[in-house]
Parts: sequence; structure tokens; C-alpha cells
Amino acid sequence: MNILALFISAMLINNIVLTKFLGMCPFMGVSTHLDSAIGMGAAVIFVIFGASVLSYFLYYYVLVPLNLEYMELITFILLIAAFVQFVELFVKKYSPALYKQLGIYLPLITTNCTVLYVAQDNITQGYDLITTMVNSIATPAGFMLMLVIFATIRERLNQNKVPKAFQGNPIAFVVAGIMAIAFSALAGLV
Amino acid sequence: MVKIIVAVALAAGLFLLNVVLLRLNKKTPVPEGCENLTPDCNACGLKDCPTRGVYEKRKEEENGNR
Repeated sequence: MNILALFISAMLINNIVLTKFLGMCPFMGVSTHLDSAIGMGAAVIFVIFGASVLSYFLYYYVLVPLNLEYMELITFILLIAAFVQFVELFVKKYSPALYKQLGIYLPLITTNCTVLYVAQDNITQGYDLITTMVNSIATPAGFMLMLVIFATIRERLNQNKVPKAFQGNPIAFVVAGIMAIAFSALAGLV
Repeated sequence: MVKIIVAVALAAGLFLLNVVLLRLNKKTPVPEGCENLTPDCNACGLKDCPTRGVYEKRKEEENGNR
């Protein structure tokens, strides 16, 4: 598949939040303010990219030669958890500014199913390293885009009168549904 | 038999790596000015998340101050 087509497809058309309903926890939880959404989105891009590339090497250079492909799920989970720990440790020690921005969201990402999905999807689709890297940037970039759009809408919603029964999560889900319909119109793009 | 041992060793190795990194992470001091970072995740329902604990503690403190 063309790299650009894959990028657009992963980011907009097959957006992980709107089409697969993955990563709904941070999507709903960290989208109340724009600053938090940007911080969370950046952290997710960084972690998914790193974890997916590492998973690629683990699968093709360790699991496949040893005929241990069935260990994919357990090893990926452990690898992602270890990677997040390492990133947190590294950022804490060498980049306080970055830690201030992303640190609070790093432990949250360990439980984000999007990370595992992207790592497994790259293997399932049989992507090579370059395609894996593109998919591992485009998918979380789509996640971040949705998070930022959703946060701006929710910030505006906070300034308006919402019927009591719809306040909070209900109106947020209605908005997410409308966004999903709107983005489904991009299906003919690629 | 060897295949099973290799599989168990691989899983155990990764688990050990997690434990070591977790311990190192806990030992690493939090940078100056980042001691009281507070998350903003009130709509998330994940109750056992460590970030959630920090958020709820802050909320309790805010409610106590009122």
C-alpha cells in the first residue's frame, strides 16, 4: 500500500477512536481541557511509536526465529509496560520540562489498549519496518487529532446550557457519535 | 521441552525487566517543580489507575479546603 495512503487512512478514515472504539478512556477522560488533550496526545504518539518499533524487532528477530509466535500477546504487553516505565524514568531524569508536560499521563498509557492494538496490527498486516513506523505515527496522530477536536468542542460545551440529563458524559458521547459520522464521509478519500 | 523452557524464560525475562525498571523508576527522584502535578481525568472510569488516585486525592483536598 502506498505510504501516503496508509498515513491518511490510519489517521482519518480508519481512525482508531471513531471506527474501533479503542482508547475511549483517555478520549473521554482527558478531553475536558485542550492543554491536557495535547499533552496526552503527544505522550501517546511517542509511546505508540516506540513500543510498536520495539515490538516489531521482538517479533521478527526473537519470536519468529524461536518459533514462539504464540507468545506475541504476552510479550507485547510486558514490552509495552517496560517501555513506558523506561520512558518515564528517562524523562524524569533527563528532561524535567518534558516530564512536567507528559509525566502525569505516562502511567495512564500503559493501560491504553491502543498501544497494544497498533503493535499487533503491524504484525497482523505483515507490514515491513518503514510501513510499521508510518502506521505507528499515523494511528496515534489520528488519536491526538480526535482528542484535540473533542477537547475544543467540550470546552465550548461547558460554556453553553446543556439539558441536565445530557450533562457530562452523555453529551460527550453524542458529540463523539456525530464526529464519527462526519469522519466516515472521508472514506472515499483514499 | 526446550521450546517451553525458552518461552518461559522469555516471559520471565521480560517480567524481570519490568520489575527492575519499576524499582528504578520509583527510586528516581521527581524533578523540581513536578512534585504536585495533577491530572485532569474526571470522566475516566478506570478506578485502579495510579493517575486516578492522584486526581481523587486532589479533589478531596479541594473539597476539604472549601
